Amino acid sequence: MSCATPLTDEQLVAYWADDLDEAALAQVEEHLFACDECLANATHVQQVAQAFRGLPPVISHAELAALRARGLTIVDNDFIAERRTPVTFERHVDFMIHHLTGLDLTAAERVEVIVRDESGKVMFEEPIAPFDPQSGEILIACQRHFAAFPPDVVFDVRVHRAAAPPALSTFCIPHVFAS
Amino acid sequence: MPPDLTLETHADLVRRVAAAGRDHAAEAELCRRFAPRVRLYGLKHLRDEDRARELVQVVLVAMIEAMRAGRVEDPERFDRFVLGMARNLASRARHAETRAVPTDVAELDVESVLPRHDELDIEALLHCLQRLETRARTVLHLSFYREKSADEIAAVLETSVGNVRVVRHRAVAQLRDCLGAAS
Repeated sequence: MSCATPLTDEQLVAYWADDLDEAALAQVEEHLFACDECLANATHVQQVAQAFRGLPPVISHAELAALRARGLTIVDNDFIAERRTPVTFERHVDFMIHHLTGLDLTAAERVEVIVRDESGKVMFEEPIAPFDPQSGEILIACQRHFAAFPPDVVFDVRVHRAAAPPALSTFCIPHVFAS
Repeated sequence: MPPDLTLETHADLVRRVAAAGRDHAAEAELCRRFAPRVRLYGLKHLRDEDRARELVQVVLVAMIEAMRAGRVEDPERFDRFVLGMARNLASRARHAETRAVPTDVAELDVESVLPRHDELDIEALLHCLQRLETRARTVLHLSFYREKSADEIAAVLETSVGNVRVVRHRAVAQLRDCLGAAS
């Protein structure tokens, strides 16, 4: 097929975001099987989507269990809100799991986590963070490549409940990454 | 000097294989053309690189066997024929939740027909992510990691579905530009 009508970026992004109906999905796939140019573009978008799957700062207890099952070197740290507690990411460690504890999640409808630096610059927002209502904690999976972020990291955890204002807990955790 | 098969159409290559019963050069050229397509299809529907590569293996084996047996009814529409096989075999793998198992032509070397796909440089990606608006980062995270639909994202961010789609595709374009510049 000549590419007289190449797939648009919108179509390719929608394809990888599972945002096409059945007919549109079939049309995109037929095109990708026939067109080298659009195949290359689709591969680029897929790489971006795939990279995102490797960057979850907030994880569920099931995801933590899966990480442990992989035999990785994991260091667990417990943190209490409103207390500044520095941590060091040692060289031999694959993941540090920050347990943001002391949260009342029993009536939570939604938990929002904002990762920012101490000046207030937001690095990441997780508006629907995974949580276990009985655990009383949110899990942050800290990875070595997060060294690219500013070191004075603050986690704002907002617990949203029905008919009540969100409850905010702030965890200030300055990071040092051992080289 | 062997003929340059890269200039031949899919249909001509399929006919070569069918006429001879087997034609390693033509088969290899078709494998080279379709392996990246089947891999991408596998990544989309099986969500895993290893399973996508297994799908490449079984689809290419089935493709070669079909050509050798003269079972390709319309060589002019060979791309759709291969897509159909990918759909069937991926669906089978998904529903059975078992890994696809290569059949007779199992010596097929998938790595030799798949182009090398470099992983994105995570540090470069993080650098580029910090240049996006927070909302754009959030939309990408919810789309590709949390696998939320545009409707769900619009509800949680209190915006329209159309806005989510616009933010999403612009953010991907910005990331691609930034990553391209970084490399």
